[in-house]
Amino acid sequence: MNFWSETKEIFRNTGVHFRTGVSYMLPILLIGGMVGSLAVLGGTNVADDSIWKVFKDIGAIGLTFFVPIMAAYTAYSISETPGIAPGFIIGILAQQIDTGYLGALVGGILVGYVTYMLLKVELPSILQSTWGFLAPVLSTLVVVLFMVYLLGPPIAALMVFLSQILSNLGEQGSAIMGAVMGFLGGVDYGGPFSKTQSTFATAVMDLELYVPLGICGAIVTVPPLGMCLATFLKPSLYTKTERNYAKSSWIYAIVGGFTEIVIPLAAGDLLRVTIATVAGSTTAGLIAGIFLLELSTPVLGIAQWFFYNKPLVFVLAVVVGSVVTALTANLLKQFSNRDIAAIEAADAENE
Amino acid sequence: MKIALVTSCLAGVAHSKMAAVALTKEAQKRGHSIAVEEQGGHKIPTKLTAEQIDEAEVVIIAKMVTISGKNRFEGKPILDVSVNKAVRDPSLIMDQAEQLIQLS
Repeated sequence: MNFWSETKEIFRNTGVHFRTGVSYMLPILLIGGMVGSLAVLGGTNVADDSIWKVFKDIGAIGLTFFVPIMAAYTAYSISETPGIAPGFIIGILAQQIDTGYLGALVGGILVGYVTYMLLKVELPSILQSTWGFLAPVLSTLVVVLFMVYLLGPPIAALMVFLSQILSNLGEQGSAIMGAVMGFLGGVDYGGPFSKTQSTFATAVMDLELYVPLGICGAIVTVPPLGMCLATFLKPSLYTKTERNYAKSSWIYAIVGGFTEIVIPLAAGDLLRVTIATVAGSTTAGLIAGIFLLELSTPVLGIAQWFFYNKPLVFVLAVVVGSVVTALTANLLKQFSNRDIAAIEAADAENE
Repeated sequence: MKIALVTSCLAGVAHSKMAAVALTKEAQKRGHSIAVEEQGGHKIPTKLTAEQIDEAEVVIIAKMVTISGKNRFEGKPILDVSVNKAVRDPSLIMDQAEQLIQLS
């Protein structure tokens, strides 16, 4: 029996399973957040029979159901279609027993794993098809009991603790959180560190905390915009290919805040570019944190500036962060002995 | 040789695209033909056709999130790698794919 090797394989890929859950969860959060933001146009006290109330309710649906969806597709990532229903149920349970997104992620992994393992059990063919129907029921039951009696209480306590800390951070605490998130968001261009901070920012929306997402929104625009600015200020420090990438990177900063676009620029000069983007996004995170910048819709990018509670702070954080990135990058590159002409020649050969 | 490639990332906008471009470029450089499917939360993937899958001698999966429809490739040699690795080092991935074909 390859029980252990399968178990190891599933838990070794925990990150992939989490990210799959997040990938399916983001669209619903996006719909909920955007439609919910429309309701703000109707003022703070919307009448029960107005269209704004409808928008507000739709927004609430999105902001409630993203947790079960995340659990369902975390489980799906492990055990495919049979995992969806158990995952969904565990996700709703996780909300009801106050364990929030953390409980949903843990529960999603567990129920996906148990479903997978149960379905791998080999039975006489006459029982096998019935087993296919029963296994998800059984796995749901097992994990439900496990969550309610064993894992639930400590996770719920942890969530209360976390929510208290995060909602009482104040300006200083938020500034520190902003700086840490800025560091993570600027250091690996959409890699595990960046995803950690953006997942954290979207997940705590479940606790009705919107400062982390505000910080996240500010910092992700900085690396692409900053590097674009850097190549404009001093083109001679960059190869032709790098300038071409930078030329399109401001579009990414405006529509989506994808730091991935910086990878080609960083690849040729990893240390210096990384220092520059980290410096810029940490600064932006710090500014966003100090002024308690909030965002309640997971739309990242400058085009969505009006969704922020303080649009001017957002602009300030982005501009200052980008300038810091650009100046740091060019200053560091001044003192490097990178042979631009030689790299360009090699690039041309590869074409 | 003929390759089928599936890439996936969170949104399906940045990483999956970059991995697809990097590996396609590398494949063309070596004279292989390659059919690509990109997956992600904000796009409808351009599905590989049954014929493309049938013809492929090796399937490369460059993923950040679990791909949908992996069972389509049952019985084929599959190279399962992270999307980041594919972006960073496409020639290594292509080497591994070539080796996989020789083994099978």
